[in-house]
Amino acid sequence: MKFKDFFNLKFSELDIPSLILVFILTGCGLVAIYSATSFVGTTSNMQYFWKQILGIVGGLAMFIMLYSVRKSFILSYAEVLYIIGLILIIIPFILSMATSGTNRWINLGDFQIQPSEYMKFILIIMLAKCFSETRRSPQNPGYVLYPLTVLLIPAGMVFIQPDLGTTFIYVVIFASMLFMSGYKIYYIFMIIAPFITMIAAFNSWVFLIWGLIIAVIIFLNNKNILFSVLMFLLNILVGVMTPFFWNAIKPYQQQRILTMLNPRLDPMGAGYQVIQSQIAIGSGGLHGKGFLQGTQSHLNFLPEQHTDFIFSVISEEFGFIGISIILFIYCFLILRWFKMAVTAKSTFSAMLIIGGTAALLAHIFINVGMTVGLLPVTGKPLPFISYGGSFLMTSFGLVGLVLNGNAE
Amino acid sequence: MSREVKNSISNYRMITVIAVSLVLFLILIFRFYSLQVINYSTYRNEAMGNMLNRTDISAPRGIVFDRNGNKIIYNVPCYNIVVYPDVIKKHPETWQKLSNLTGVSVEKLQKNMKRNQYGAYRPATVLRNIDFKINTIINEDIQNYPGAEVIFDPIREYSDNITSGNLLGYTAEIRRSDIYKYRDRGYKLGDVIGYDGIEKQYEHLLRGERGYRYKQVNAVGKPLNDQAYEQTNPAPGNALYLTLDQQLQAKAESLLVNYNGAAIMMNYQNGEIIACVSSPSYDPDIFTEGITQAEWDSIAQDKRIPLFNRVIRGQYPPGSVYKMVAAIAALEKGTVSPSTEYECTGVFELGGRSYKCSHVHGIEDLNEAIAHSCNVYFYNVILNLGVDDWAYYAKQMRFGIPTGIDLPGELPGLAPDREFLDRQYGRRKWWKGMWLNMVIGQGDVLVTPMQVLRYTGILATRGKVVTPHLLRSVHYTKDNSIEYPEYPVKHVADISAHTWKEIESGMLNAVQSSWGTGRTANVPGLNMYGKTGTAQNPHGEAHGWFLGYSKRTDFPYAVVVFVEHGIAGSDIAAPVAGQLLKAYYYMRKR
Repeated sequence: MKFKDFFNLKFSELDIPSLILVFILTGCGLVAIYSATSFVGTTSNMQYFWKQILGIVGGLAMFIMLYSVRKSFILSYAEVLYIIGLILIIIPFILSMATSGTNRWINLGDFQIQPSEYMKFILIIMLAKCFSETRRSPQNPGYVLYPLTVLLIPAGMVFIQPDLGTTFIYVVIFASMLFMSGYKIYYIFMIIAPFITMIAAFNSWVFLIWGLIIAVIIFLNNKNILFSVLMFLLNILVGVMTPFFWNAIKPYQQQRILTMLNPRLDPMGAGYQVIQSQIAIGSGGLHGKGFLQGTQSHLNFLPEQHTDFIFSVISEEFGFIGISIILFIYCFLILRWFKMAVTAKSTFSAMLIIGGTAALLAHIFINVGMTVGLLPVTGKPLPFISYGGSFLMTSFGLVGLVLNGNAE
Repeated sequence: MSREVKNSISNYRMITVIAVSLVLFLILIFRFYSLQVINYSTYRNEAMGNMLNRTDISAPRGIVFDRNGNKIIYNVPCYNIVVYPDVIKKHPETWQKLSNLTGVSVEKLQKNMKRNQYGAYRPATVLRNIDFKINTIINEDIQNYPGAEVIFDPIREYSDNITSGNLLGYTAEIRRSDIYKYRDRGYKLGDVIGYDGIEKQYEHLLRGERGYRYKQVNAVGKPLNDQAYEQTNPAPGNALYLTLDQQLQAKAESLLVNYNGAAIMMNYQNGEIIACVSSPSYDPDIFTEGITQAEWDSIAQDKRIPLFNRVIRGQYPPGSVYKMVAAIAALEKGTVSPSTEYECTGVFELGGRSYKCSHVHGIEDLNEAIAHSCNVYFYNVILNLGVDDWAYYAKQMRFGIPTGIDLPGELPGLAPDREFLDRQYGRRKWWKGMWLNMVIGQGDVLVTPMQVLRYTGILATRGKVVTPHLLRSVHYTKDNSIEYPEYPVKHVADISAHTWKEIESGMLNAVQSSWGTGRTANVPGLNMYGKTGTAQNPHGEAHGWFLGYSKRTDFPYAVVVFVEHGIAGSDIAAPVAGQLLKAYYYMRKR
């Protein structure tokens, strides 16, 4: 086997505007990191700046790899990659049983890898393969079973780590691809319904009304009576079981779930971060306080300011105008990539594009939503801008997959 | 649809996905717009509050002068040692150095720090009012005392010539138990506030406005540097000019030094208080430097109660000085005329009880009865007059009503009337014998020395009711303006000139005749009028009273002296009053 069998450096087909915009974003990230890591009274800590440049180089390598890898190759080895990915996720899990530490990372000396990050690529590839194969018609409700299984195994593992953010990203990848695969909206609703039922089950009136809504929707779509009745009964069962399950778990576990959903329950911890972040953003105003002039960041009020809350630093120093420009670039990229799916040369390519773009969109929304206090603090960084080599490689890798899907 | 279909992607679903993406970005943009544009000022203020640490610069309190421009209360530089808890924690050797230098134990210094500390980055005072020499030593070698610093803080000093703490008041750090009362007015723990006397009464004028020094701090409150980011300077308190004469006050203090009592002098034409002594008193200086428990106990538990200002809070039976009330009432109502005579046999019988007089005075008219201070004559007066008219004129003389002097905590005394007796003893359960006690200033009658002084002013001016006061003028530091407060002047109900003449004649004889009870008060040349009082009380010797005034138009001063357990008014009170008037007459002449 030769290198050419696996890779094709099709640079002529590379979407240059995407790459330019991505580099503009990473440049903004470097500026923000420089600012976020220089505190008043001390000289700037250039260490972060250079490490980020190193991360960008690593990201580029990941981009080139995933951009140039042949789709025929990943199509034939998708299942192998998937199994390797699952094993890698399990390894830190097993290690942590012995050490009772955090269980997301594998330490290899100075170098750490986080398998759940690479699982994003693998999941996109695996699901793209599932959704592009025509074993079953999307009109058939059973169409979803195989991809759903593919999702639930890694998602479940990540969820019990617990890593709500990554679980959510997996689900978004799956949901967007499922939706675009042409699967009936009615069936998608029936998959989502049990999760809504779980929440509705905490209030008997809400539960009753929700039950009626399900019944009406099922009645209007009763093309497959057996499926419909089964789904309805499943929903009721889930609803009835939820309070029992909730009461069965220990109070500290309940507390943990509630804090995960609402960080303001923990005002000195996650709540403090959100409040300080909002002050930083709001005090930036229309024009911002100017480069290196942010008081919230330079006086150290902002937590995690070079990683998770980097967007607050930019908001404080460059104001609403600066933020609007960056959000516009993100929006432009996302829409440009989604549109690529329409003209993709195969369903598999289209699915790669949709999965990668959806993953990036989810990352942006989770991170920015967190800094402005709309979403819980999940500790997910911002693609291309946040400090951190590992996540830069993920982000660039996703762009690589998307543009790979667009090429050829 | 013209595109070449190569995949199974539905256009409609793609539009849905793109629309959802756009909505998500719009949500974010709107959220930023709300935070950064709509609510900008809120968050800007919060960020400013985050980054700036405000420390107070205390304002020097206003200076208090006497009527001649002598400083009575002022500020002197004081040097305090402060430590920065966060720094000294890293340099524990500083404690020992400070201890060696000041002679105060390390434990004591550390205890003081804990007591005065709020926050690890704010200086906490460990020793107040250190020697100037120690200040110099530390300042010249400040690197050797990491975490410590000497700061300048003015403290209150009171004139050494007088010790009237219960008149001037004192200043002290606001007590924890009091802070809730003052928080609304911008006070906080650690602030100095006036307690008692002038310091409390004019706290709002003396206080000044504190300044602020803003320093930039980081998230844990640590200042970034020593420079002030911004500073507003404090505005010193306003200067007060009192009506007091420091020299006379000192004289009055010395005259009363061996007694418990009060001596007050007032210009009866305008109500200016020239001297106001409640003896014993205390030296307010001991409070400013932080009073020790032992010092406080020795003052608070002193049986002579130096903290108690007898002038306005002491309510005593007035004794015979109250007799002019009945005399005026009887003359006005016509139940007594200047020629009405009664015989005093030394004892008066009523309802099976006997009421005594100090001597057997024989047959007397009203003039003689006042000058001799005969009780029996007034027993007859009140029985013919009745209690209602008597009580009416007591009210006219403003008994039972506070004088409104500008001192905190004045008590109203008690001028009994029919309503009071009904309430106190029950309707018709009291008997006329009580009238006999009350008419000679005994029984339920209670007055403060300040009320007696106002009464003396009414007698001296034939009915002018002035408001006794201590504040003559305020000199505002902000605009250098001067304000002379106006004090209400009223008049008693019409009393005929005949009546006044008769009363004055009695008071003239009481002082200036060879047989008057107040002759020991007489100062030849001052044309003095007066009246003694001797108030029986169940606690021991009688209280001695003297009220008097000079009738000279160039010397319109009234004086009241009260001596607890001072036997008869003529024994101690009258001579002290005479000496005071005489002393002031010569002070003014000079």
